[in-house]
Formats: sequence, structure tokens, C-alpha cells
Amino acid sequence: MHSKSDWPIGMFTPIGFLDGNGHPRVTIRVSGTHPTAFTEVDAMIDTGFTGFLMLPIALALPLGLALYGTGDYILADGSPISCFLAEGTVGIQAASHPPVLEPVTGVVVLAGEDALLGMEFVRGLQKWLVIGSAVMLADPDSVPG
Amino acid sequence: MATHLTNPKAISDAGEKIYSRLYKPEYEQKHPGKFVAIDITNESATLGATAGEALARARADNRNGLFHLIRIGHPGAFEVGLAHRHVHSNRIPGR
Repeated sequence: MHSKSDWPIGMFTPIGFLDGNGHPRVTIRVSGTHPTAFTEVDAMIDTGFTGFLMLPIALALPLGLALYGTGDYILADGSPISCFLAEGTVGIQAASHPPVLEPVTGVVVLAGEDALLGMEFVRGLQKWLVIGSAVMLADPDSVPG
Repeated sequence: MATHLTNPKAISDAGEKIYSRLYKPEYEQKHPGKFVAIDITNESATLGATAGEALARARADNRNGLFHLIRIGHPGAFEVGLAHRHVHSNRIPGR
């Protein structure tokens, strides 16, 4: 068991914020195959979403994401939704310097009305995601073990 | 190909039919929890530990393929939690 004072506060990198409903959000930059086309959006971190990124079609279309095909996702009530899947790259736009992460490429689910970052994205960070009064990343080496 | 390429449900149904006919019994026994990308243009299947791995491998094998992603032994490739709880499914494209 570790006390709060065991945690090296300086090793935490702020990457996001809590919105008005208390949901954690991170400003991300999403891009596809086009070198200059990208969008920035405040995506919600949803640990109940098992995928990488869900993005509304209206936001995804201008980016020219390379289409893979389709997949089904299951809503909380158990109903299935068929949707298009595409390849996209996500970078975190944090206020901190230097850049927090190298951009990560994954499968984008083209659906919904809000941008969601899921557990496949979180696992890909290979860091600890800390959600409290803010949203922060910590290097695994800096977390008491 | 008879599948209507602008309708994700039609592509999904085509992929599910191929999977059920050619791969499901074997894959559910040997690869539970993995992802498989079914190429509906040639009925091939590509496995991966993650969604991205399965689809990237499938695309490398067939640049012109059109894939339906399945998580083996699961009702869908992905699950969504809180964010869609109050969104009616008829407002979601592809439904």
C-alpha cells in the first residue's frame, strides 16, 4: 500500500480535463491518409468502449480515412449496430511540452454522435492513465509498484 | 458482387454468412477472443490479436479487399458502454 506522498507528482503529464458532466476528455488530432487533412476534437475516454476510436461520420468524411469495411458493435442494451471501419491516426494535443506521445494508428469506428476513445487506444498508450480532477499520463516506471 | 457497398448492414451480413459457413466452428474452438477479418470479395479470413492487427494483415494480403471484422465468440467486434446508453439506435448510421 502506498501513500499519496509516494507518487512523484512531477512524473505525471496532464493531457485532458473533465467536462461539465464529469467525463474525462482529451483533445486529439485525427488524421488519415491525406498528409494535411486532420481534425481536432475533444474525445471522451470511455472505458466501456472496447475499440480504439469512435468518430461521427460527419467528422470523418473530410479526412479521407482509408476504409477497411465493416464491423458490428454492441450497445449497452445488447442491440447490434453495423458500421463502417477505417484506418486512422490519433495524436494527443496536450498543452505540455514536448509532445506527449507519438501518434498511434488504429481502427476507427465510424458511428455515433460523439468522439470516444476506447480501451484499445488506452492499452496502446503503454502508460498509466490517471483520471481524477484532471486527466494525466504516467510512465509505468514512475508508478510505485 | 451483389452486396450493396454503401450499406454497412449488407456488408456485415455478407461477412457473417461467409464466417458461419466456412470458419466459425473451427475458429470458435481454436481462436476464441481473437479478431478475424473476412474478405467478402474472396471469402478469405485473416486472424489477429487486435482489430487493427487483423485488418492491417488482411489489407496487406488484398489491397482491394472489403473486410468484415468479427471478434470470435462475441456478438460484435466491439462493445460500447455509457456513451450510447441514451442514444436511440435509429439515429446511428448503418442501423
